[in-house]
Formats: sequence, structure tokens, C-alpha cells
Amino acid sequence: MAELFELRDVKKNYAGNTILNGISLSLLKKHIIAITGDSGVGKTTLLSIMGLLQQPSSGELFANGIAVNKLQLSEQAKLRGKYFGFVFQRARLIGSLSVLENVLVPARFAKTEDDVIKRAKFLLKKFGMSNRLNYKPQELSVGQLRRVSLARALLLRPSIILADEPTNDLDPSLAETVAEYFLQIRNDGMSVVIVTHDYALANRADQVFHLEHGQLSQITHA
Amino acid sequence: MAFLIWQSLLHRKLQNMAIVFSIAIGVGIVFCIIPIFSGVSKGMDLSRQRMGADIVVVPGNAVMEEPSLILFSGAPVNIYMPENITDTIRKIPGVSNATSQFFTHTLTADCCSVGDSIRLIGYDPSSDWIISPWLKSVRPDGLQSDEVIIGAKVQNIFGDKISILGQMFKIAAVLEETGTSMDYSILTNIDEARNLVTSNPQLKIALKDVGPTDKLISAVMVKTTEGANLENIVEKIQETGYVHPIVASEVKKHINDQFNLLLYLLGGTGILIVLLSIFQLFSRFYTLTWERQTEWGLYLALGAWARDIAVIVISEAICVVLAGVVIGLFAGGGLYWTGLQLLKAHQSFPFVNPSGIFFTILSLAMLVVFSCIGALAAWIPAYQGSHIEPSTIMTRGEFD
Repeated sequence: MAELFELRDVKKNYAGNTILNGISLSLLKKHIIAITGDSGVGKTTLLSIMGLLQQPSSGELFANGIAVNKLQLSEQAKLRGKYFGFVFQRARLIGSLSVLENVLVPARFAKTEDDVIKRAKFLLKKFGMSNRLNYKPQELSVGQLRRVSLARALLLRPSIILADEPTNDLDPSLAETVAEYFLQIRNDGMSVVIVTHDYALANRADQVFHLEHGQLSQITHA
Repeated sequence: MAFLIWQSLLHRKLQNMAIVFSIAIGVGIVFCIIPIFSGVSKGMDLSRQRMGADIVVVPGNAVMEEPSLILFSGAPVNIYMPENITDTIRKIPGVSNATSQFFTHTLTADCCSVGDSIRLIGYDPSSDWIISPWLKSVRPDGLQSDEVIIGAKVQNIFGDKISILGQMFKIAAVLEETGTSMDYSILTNIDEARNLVTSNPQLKIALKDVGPTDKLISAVMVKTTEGANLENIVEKIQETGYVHPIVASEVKKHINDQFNLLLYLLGGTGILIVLLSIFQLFSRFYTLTWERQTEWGLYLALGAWARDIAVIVISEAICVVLAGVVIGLFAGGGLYWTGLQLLKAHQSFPFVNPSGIFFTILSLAMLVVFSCIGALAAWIPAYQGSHIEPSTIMTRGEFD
């Protein structure tokens, strides 16, 4: 299977401390990778480096064979918008915008010819939010917020979804629903990287890695 | 992106409204002051250029509490003195020319001047140097006995004819603005003006105590030679009889000083308010750089370029400033009109209404200047906002 994304010997130092120490990882198409680890070990840092949200101290990142961390910042921004979909630990919706408008935010920055409104409505319907299109985030429950942020991440049909603790703060049944959504996403042809403490969720992934002392060790392989 | 900017502005309505209104107040004051300042300055210049009289001599019994009334208002003044005073003044050393004028006024009930009565000035074509040269350029054949010239600001005139004291006159020409009382007056030949008075029963009764009108004048306009000592000339004029010389330049200087003080105070206040608003705008956007880091981090994570963030910040600032300027321009227009009426009600002064082009250019200039200032105020916050780490979205708390 083709490699969609690859990290080669990625290191990250913060104020003299080594957070990531030579991480190498390959992500295949239609695969789910889960990264577990204790709080503060650098899981979110690793995810944000993968999503081009921050630069590694050293090492290389490849997307479809292209060294993306060598690209200009504007090129990285363009790639970030189209190649990655982000699901943050908190929903991160904009309070002044409605549910539908929040989902459409990525399209405001991407020059796309697609009928994004139609797709946004389709995704919200898929996640059971079609009757809440004009609601404001403050009128939604935690689970609904999470579903809206998932729809936003999928709007521009990214190749990879990067999810940071997607089931954090959710009750077990809702966490299970979210896990189901990720399986659906994979079935739709996308790859997913999940950073989580939630071993129930991690066990649904194709590969599970554990991050400790800046090193990644593989626990399972599908 | 325009949608995000608009939504963000709406989301912070109260803060934005506060800045919009403070900018509007400052702009309103500045927009009111500049045309008044310009109108007075232009009026002063025009009256200097076109009135041509350095000293205006009026009868000693004329009420002189406010000399500017005679020089710059159109208020009727029935003041008379003997005609021969003009010849005496002409002979004073330093006087290069002197010409007589005869004042009367229309009656308020006249058909075509339904408002206040208008000052009617009879000028002497044989010695006049103020109206005659101009008239020659617009009417080479001169003024006929049934014709009048009307001042630039005479109102309630319909068509090309005017009824004055029961007689119909053709309007031969409309005088260009002079910034003086002539703007509000009707001008005719001095003999015709006297005839009008003697043939009107009401005015004839009113003037019966001053004697035969054909030997009376109301004012002598005096032109002095270059470098002449005005004080000496004024003294000599006073020696000629019971007359009151008004030195036009002194009256103008007095008005100029009064206006300058008022306009500098108000203009300074306006500029201060605008500067404070800009400072307020800068501090608000600077604070926002910290408050909205997560929001902008989100935009960056969702594909926005650093440039997009700068555009959002600067556009928001410009929108706030533009709204303030537009409201301020309308408010300033109203303030200008009201202020001018109030000033005119309490003080006679030379004033030339600024043209529509002046107001258009001033409005556009204020829009451009304030937009640039707004953009500059948002420059540092925009620069900082566009340089935040996109990973902020992963590490910072919730945002509004």
C-alpha cells in the first residue's frame, strides 16, 4: 500500500529539553494510527508537527514523496488546508458563527470550486446535525460540538485527519460513537492519526504506537 | 474572508460601536470646522480683493456697536450724511479715491422678496472703482435705469425680474461673491436709488427728517495710496465733520482673531478626539492580538495564510474607522450647517460658502486619511497576528 505521509528522524527540542527524539513513522492510505502516551510526553507536539502547525528542530516530513517541511510557509499553509483535517481536543468552533458557517470556515481560505455548502450540509446530516444548522456553538452539547468539528475537518476531503484526544471529556457511549465516525472516515478513503489516552479508542486503530521519553514504540499492527 | 470579518465585527458590537462613535465625534468636529475656517478665510481674502475700500466712512450718528454689520451683513441701515463730504475726503493726503454710496432697503412686503427686507445700495458710476470695472466685463453697455445687480447671496428672487418698492427692475447681473455686505444687497445707480426713496410714500415719510435725498449719501468708500498712514488719514477724516471712519482691515483682523481662536480651539478638540480614538483603536487591536491568538491559530490550522490574518485584522480596523468617518461626515455636515447659522445669528463676518467640490474632496480626503491611519493603527497587531505559531490552536485555552 502507498505511503501517504512519512516522518524521518524527527526531533523537537524546547528550551534545552528533548521532547521528540528521532521519530520515524509512516502512514498508509486508508489507515488509522493511534498514538498513546502519558500527559506531557509530546503527543500533541508530534501531531502538530505532522500537521505542519510547527516546525521540527530537525528531521524530515514527506507527503506523497515531497519534503513538505522544506516548503515555504505559504505553501505549507496551502497544503495544511487541503491535505489535513484537524479535530482538536476541544471543538474550537467560532462563537459568532452558526454550525453551518463553522463547518464552512476552511472553504473561506481555500480556493475551491466544489459546492462546499452542499457538502457541509451532507456532512452535518451524516453526523446527525442537520436540524442544528443555524445553532450557535454555545447552544450545543459537547458531543454535538465534537461532531461539528469533525464535519469541518472533512469538508475539503483531506487525505489525513489528525485528531487530538477526540474522545476526551466524552461519556463512553459518545466516545464509542466518535470512534465509529473514525472508522467511517477510513472507509471513505482517508487516513487518520489519533493521539489519545483512550485505549478503547486506540484499540480500534490499525496501528498503535506508544510515545515515551521522546521515542515511539509500536504496540500493535493490524 | 469578508464574511469572517463582518461576523467578527458584529460579534464585538459594543466595543466596535464605542470606537465608531468616538471617531465619528472627532471627524464630525473636524469636518464642521474645516469648511467654516475655509469659508471665513476665503471671505476675508475676497473682501480684501473685491471690496477695495480701505476705510468706510459712515455718519457719526450711525450705531457703531458692531461695525462688521455695515461691512459684512446685508442688514438694512438707513444712515445719511451730506454728499459734499466725499469731495472733502478725496482731498486728504494719502487718499487715492473716494466714492459715495446711498443705502436704502426693500420693503418686506414686496412681491419678490417675501422674507426680510434687503439692503439697496446706490453706487456712483462716475467715481466707483468697486462695481463698475466688474460690470464692464459682464455688461459692457452699463446698467440701464430699470436694471439692478443683485448680490450673490440675495435670496427669494424668482426669475430675471425683481420688484423693489413697487417698481419692476430687470436683474442685469448677479455679483460674484465678495465676502462683504454687497453679497446680501441689491445694487443700482445712486440716482435711481434716491428716486426710489422719493417716489415711495412710506420711505419718504421715514426719511422726511433727513432732508432732500438727492444731496445725501450713506457711506463713502475710501481707497488709500500704497503705504499711506491709515491712522493719519482716519484722524483727518474725523476732522471733516460728524463722521465715523471704519478701518476695514482692523474690523477684519478683529473678526479673524475671534474666529481663529474659536476654530483652533474646536479644531484642536476634534483632532484630539480623533487621535484618542485612533489610540483606542490601536490598543484594542493590540489587545486582540493576545485575546484572539487561538482564533487566528485556528484559521492558520484550517489553511489561512499569515497574510490572510493580517488582512482580517487590518480590514476590521478599516471597517471600524470607515463607519466612524461616514457617520462623522454626516454628523459634521449637520454640525456645520447648524453652527454656521448660530455664528451668523450672533456675528457678521465675511463668509464664502465652500463649493460642493470642496465638500466632496474634503469627504474623500478624510475617508482616505482616516482609513490609512486606521490601517497604520492595526499594523503592529496585524503583523503580530500574522506571525503567531499555528500550533497555538493546540496549546491555548478556549476562545470567544
